[in-house]
Amino acid sequence: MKPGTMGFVPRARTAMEAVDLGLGLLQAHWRPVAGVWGLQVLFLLGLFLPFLFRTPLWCLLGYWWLKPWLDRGVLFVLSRAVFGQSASVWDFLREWRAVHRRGLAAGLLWRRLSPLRSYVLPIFQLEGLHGAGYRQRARVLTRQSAGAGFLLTCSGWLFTLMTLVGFLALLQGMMPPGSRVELWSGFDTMTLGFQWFLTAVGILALTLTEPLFVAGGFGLYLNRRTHLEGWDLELAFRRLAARLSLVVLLLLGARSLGAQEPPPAPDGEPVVQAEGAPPTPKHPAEGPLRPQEEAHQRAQRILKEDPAFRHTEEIRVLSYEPTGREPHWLRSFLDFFFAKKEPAKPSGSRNLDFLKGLWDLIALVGKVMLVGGLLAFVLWLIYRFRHRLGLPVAREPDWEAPAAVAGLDIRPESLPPDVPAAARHLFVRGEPRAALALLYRAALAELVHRKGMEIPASATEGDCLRAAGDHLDPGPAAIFKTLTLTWQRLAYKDDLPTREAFEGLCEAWPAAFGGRS
Amino acid sequence: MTNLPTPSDPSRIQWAAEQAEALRTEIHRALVGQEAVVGQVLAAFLAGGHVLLEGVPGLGKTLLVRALATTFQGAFARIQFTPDLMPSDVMGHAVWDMKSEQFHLRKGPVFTNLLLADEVNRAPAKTQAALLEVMQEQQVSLEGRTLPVEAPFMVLATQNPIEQEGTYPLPEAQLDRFLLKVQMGYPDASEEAAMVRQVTTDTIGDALRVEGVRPLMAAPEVLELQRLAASVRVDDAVLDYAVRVVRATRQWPGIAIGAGPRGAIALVRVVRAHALLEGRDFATPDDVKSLALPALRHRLQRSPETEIEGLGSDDLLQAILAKVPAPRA
Repeated sequence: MKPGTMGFVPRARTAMEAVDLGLGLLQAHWRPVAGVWGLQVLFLLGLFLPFLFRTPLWCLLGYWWLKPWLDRGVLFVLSRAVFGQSASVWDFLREWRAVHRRGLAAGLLWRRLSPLRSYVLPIFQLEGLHGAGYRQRARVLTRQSAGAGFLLTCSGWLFTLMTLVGFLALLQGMMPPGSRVELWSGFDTMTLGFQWFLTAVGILALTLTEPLFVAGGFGLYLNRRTHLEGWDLELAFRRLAARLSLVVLLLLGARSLGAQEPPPAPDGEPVVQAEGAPPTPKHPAEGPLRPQEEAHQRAQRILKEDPAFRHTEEIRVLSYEPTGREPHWLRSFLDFFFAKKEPAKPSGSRNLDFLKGLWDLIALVGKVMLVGGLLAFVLWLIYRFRHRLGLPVAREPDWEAPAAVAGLDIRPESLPPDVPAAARHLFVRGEPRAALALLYRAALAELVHRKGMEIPASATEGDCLRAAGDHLDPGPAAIFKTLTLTWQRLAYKDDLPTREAFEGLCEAWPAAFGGRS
Repeated sequence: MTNLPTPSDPSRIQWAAEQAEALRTEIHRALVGQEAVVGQVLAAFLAGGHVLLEGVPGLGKTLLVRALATTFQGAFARIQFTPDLMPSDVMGHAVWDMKSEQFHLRKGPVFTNLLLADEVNRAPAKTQAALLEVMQEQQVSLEGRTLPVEAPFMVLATQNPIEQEGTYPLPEAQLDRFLLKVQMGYPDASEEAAMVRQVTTDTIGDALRVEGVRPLMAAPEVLELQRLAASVRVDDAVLDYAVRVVRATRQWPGIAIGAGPRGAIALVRVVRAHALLEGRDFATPDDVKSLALPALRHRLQRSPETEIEGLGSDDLLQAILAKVPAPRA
């Protein structure tokens, strides 16, 4: 292959782009593909009809099984398209023998159900490889794109199935209601004509999808070869060479092209590199391996003589030296973590020593996790049931006492030292609303800041009253209820309390809400 | 029967509270438990609104309505909505009288005081629309004549939250006509035991028994109660709180379409009635909070994400109520 003559731009593509490249080729040359395919189908039908006219299902099955044979025509046209040539049906007939010469039996028998069928088809059709050469080549080519090839095959199956089911659903939808023929009822119950009709639908579905599948696989194949053989680089160098002098061309050709391109095969196809072969030794003078004892002695000598192996390092570790005065349980506990380990016996196998050390480490980590987990569980139990154990209960960390409830400032610093006295003063001064508001918000402040009552900013007076019922004794709760109702009447009805009622609240306030009086 | 209090009577709120309490007590003679449901239905009754009752079968929805109708000696009618129910079956129609050789109007069951529209979502849209038009206009147009429906007029429509097969769900615009959507749940164990005892003692068959319910008032007294409810004072702060709650539904994440201004109007109407039921002549933010769910739950349209998460309108409204700051007077 000469990249300069190609009918596409060789460059390193992703797998999806590669499939797209194949589909692009098919799109550009769909007429010859359709012609070749149609010719083959006619040939097949001519072959089948005399024998399988009464059994259309077998005809469909045969068509499906012989798809690899049909694929060869598609690949023939696409392989010409790669070189910018448009193959005709006549060309195909002329090359008929060459197209079907290699690997047809394998393709129809043991490679028929290969998950990479379209991807590896060019290897035996275009490269003419078979046997061990084919296997080696296929291994190299599918090393990085086998997943994409498999996905392409699965997509092909799915696409064919969807097309077939889509056609059948369309037919079913067009049947008149109560039609005698039911598509899903079974092939055997249908008339021969209808069976042939459905067979034609199946052949149509396969015909629509198979060339796409072949083209996608061919795109992957081209892309893989571009990766392996640097077609894009070669093309770039050729363009460079066209612009530079002959000397530079020779230099570049000698240094890069010569090193990159594999020597051509006698028939013009690239030679398959023996990538699976064992690497040749870089230093042939090393010769075969010495006997094991000699090698060991040599290694010991190097270890003793070479100063590079005499490096010393001081490592400090945390350890525990028992004094004999500590209690037994403490000693056991500290031994558990810091007990000196017996020096490991010299072992002949470093791997086993390493595994044993790793195992000890895992065991120690397991012990620490077990003890830590138990401690954490006990601590969690204590925390969980701190109410029952009588421990001091802190507020939830994410809850902050609001500065205002129902629009009333309840911060302690906003309140006077003697709330009832200040309220009385306001009432006498002719500000009964402010006086009652002071009593109410001071009561709320006490509940929030001293009793730990959680009141969100969205709480209404009723919410506060219900919450206070859980935090206050019956006496104070009753006073708070009276205070709330009085406050509500004032706030939402402008109904001023009588002086006696207000005085009663002021007198009851210190007893109910303690702190400030 | 109680003498009507005069508007200047200072004890009129007290009288209203006593009447409401008496209504509640009488209803509970027939219906055991369901305190909140009875309270909400009474609030809607005093607010002159209509109620959509949602609950599984067998919770006493019909019994509640019949008991309420008995308490005020009102006319009671029940329509079982079915897919073949026609608007004329609800509104009435003209029939040809052979003797007089004239058309006579035959009024439908909608000409009543208390109408139970059972399983309202089983009728097709045009029948639902006919009923909802009466609910809104309080009048019926028949054969070119406009016939007012006698006050008090209240529709209690029921629907079943399960068995949605073959139903015609009420559109949002029509749901908006209901003042409240009351959800009726199962009674608790003690209430259920008391109910079973009451219903099965000295009873033949499974007929609904409302004989124990005494009539307490006539239609004029009900109208007076409704007038009193409408005159309950709602402070600006309370009104503002109700509006803020309703407006919050329009920006709340998880709600595709929030409640409209009719939602705020309905909420404040029912808040007034609720305050009256509590014996107050002024409303508080607590009234708003306690009635926001039944007044707004049918006016929200949840976003698809919220529906997938399984959050109901009540969950969203509770979240809103927990976030909207309560007012200060």
